[in-house]
Amino acid sequence: MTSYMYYPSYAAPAPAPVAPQRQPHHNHSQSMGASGLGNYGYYQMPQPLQGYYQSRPQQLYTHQHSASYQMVLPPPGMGYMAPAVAPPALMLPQLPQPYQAVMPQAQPQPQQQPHQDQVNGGVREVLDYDLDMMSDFVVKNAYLVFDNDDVLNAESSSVSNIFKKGVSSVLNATRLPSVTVFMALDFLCKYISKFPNGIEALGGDSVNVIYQNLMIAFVLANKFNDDKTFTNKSWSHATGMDLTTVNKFEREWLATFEWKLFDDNFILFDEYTLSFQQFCEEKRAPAAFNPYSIPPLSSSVSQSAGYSPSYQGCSGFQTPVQAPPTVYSSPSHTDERSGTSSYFYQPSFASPISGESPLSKNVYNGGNGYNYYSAPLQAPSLAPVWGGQPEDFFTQSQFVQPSKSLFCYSH
Amino acid sequence: MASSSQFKQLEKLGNGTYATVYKGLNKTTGVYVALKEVKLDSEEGTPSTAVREISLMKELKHENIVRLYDVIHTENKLTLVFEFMDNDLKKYMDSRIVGNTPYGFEMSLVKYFEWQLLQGVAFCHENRILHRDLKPQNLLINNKGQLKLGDFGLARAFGIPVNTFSSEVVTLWYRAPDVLMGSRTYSTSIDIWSCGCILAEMITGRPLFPGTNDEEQLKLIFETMGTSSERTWPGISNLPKYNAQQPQHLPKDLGALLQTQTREKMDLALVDLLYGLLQLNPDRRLSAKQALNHPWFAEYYQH
Repeated sequence: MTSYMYYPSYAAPAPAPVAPQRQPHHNHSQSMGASGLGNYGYYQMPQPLQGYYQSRPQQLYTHQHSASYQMVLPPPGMGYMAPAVAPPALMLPQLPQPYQAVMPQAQPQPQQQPHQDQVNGGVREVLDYDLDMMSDFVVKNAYLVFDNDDVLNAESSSVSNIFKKGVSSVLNATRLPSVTVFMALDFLCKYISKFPNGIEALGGDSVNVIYQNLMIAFVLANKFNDDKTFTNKSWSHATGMDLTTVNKFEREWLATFEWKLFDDNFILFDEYTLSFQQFCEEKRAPAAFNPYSIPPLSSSVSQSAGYSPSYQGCSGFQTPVQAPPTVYSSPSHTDERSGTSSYFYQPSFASPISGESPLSKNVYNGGNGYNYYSAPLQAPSLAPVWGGQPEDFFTQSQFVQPSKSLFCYSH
Repeated sequence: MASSSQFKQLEKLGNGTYATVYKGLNKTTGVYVALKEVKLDSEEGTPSTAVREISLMKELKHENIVRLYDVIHTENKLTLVFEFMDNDLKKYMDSRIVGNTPYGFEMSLVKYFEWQLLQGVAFCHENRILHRDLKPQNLLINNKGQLKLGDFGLARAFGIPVNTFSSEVVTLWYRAPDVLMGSRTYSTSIDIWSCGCILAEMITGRPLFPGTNDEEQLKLIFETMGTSSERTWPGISNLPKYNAQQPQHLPKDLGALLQTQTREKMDLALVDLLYGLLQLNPDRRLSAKQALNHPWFAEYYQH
């Protein structure tokens, strides 16, 4: 079992990376500010019924609760106390306070910001999707692309649960628009299809390999598609991946793609959009949900277009999952989560509403900057998650057994 | 896959926006190339400008777009191997300044360059790519009179939703009024405005709207083209930087204005084309394809 050192260090404050200065009209690079840190405030606090993809002015200070775990792992020489010391010009105007609280007090190279409008926040102020849904969607697609059977029990697997949190953290910090997220999934699918011997050439289908490649897909989709882009150092902070690893993977990816990131004009965009819509509908309308049949869809277009893009072009995740019926029924899922926490979290994780991060116990127990995630996960008791029999979910359903061809890109 | 040892680096041709360009010689083929070298910063990784320029230009094979032959990617340097071009339009225009007086091109050359420019732009737009930085410096020419679009560092794909368009695109003098007023929903019309500015500049040898900042740029545009209203441009008042107190101007006679700056005859078809390219309302601007079918170009398509 590989270690999970590449999961985002939720607990480690990250220095805000410095955007390279270029000519003004080329200077779209920016820092993304805080790494995916302290982004789980909404797990911890009962909220009014509102989507958290909307602006969250009332939640700005919820991270006070999580200060304890934010402070667990200071990078050497980093202080925590004085967000006010950070120059206001470098603040993230649209980001909630917790982000500012972890902005670096000491910029390695404080730079003059010539443009007031050069914000350091994510790509979008307002996400055009439900963060939790999208993270789930991304993780399941990534598992499917890698043909990892763990997707079958993804809902109950603590490994995939942490994977999902990692993705959620990265998306929350970067605030990529959905089109860029879908493009990243498309890149991932194409990338794997470029290896004739399949995923073995990439190092297998361990969650670590999946995670790292998914992150590089985000990096390149962001650089290709968004006018606000992040430096690899920012990505390194947000993803927990080593900067040299990000750089190396990026080079390998571009070489494998021969730089052709747009050779099909992202023809599957509509299918990804539809697939995500259906995914959300299934999650939100669990009453109509039957895991062993095609769930009814409100969109007749999708029916007529053939139910599943997955089978046409490897894109979307369409497999009905054994989600607890209530979990996603409301954007304000904090309370519901508490009722299903035993389903979602392994006993080793704290209850999501206990005021602590689900990870915090492990953080404290680990006591080491990198191993604290891997410690519980590497326990032999989890081996069946990886090596055990997949549930016979697919065979009982009318879906075909996932096969390589399903994920192969046609070009 | 090329390696850098395959090329002999010759004289420096210029500094691009994020790179240095050298003339190079392909030692195996004896063909001259342009080597665009991008220093890589480990913190930045591969610059997004390079990611876009390369991935988009790989799809754009057209006689009016500079060909990207190869890419050499090492840990600290990225080299783009381009088709060699003798000159760029800016330097060529500058070379025609006599004393302090700029001179435009002969009308036949203006027409031939504009035709090629619009051909290249039309091809980009057909392939769902916006250039977003058309200006004389980025139009490369050779001794055969060919003109090709270069520098796709600001280009981007469209057609898929574009939530994050920046309005900080296109060098000021060639930037469309809708973009100047903060529009982020622009499309192909952004490049067409630049084509109009470049056409006028080739005629007179002077930039049409040489503003020094956003406000002055808009003022120069409105003084010549007249101010717009909701009537002529529905939606204008919703643009972020729309100024309702803007002094009102009537449109000037563009043909007469340019005629004072050139010895060539400004014929009516040319003036009509200029108005088509320089419509303030982006929805009213000609497309590249429409412009190519304009009567002013009749001699090229009526064979």
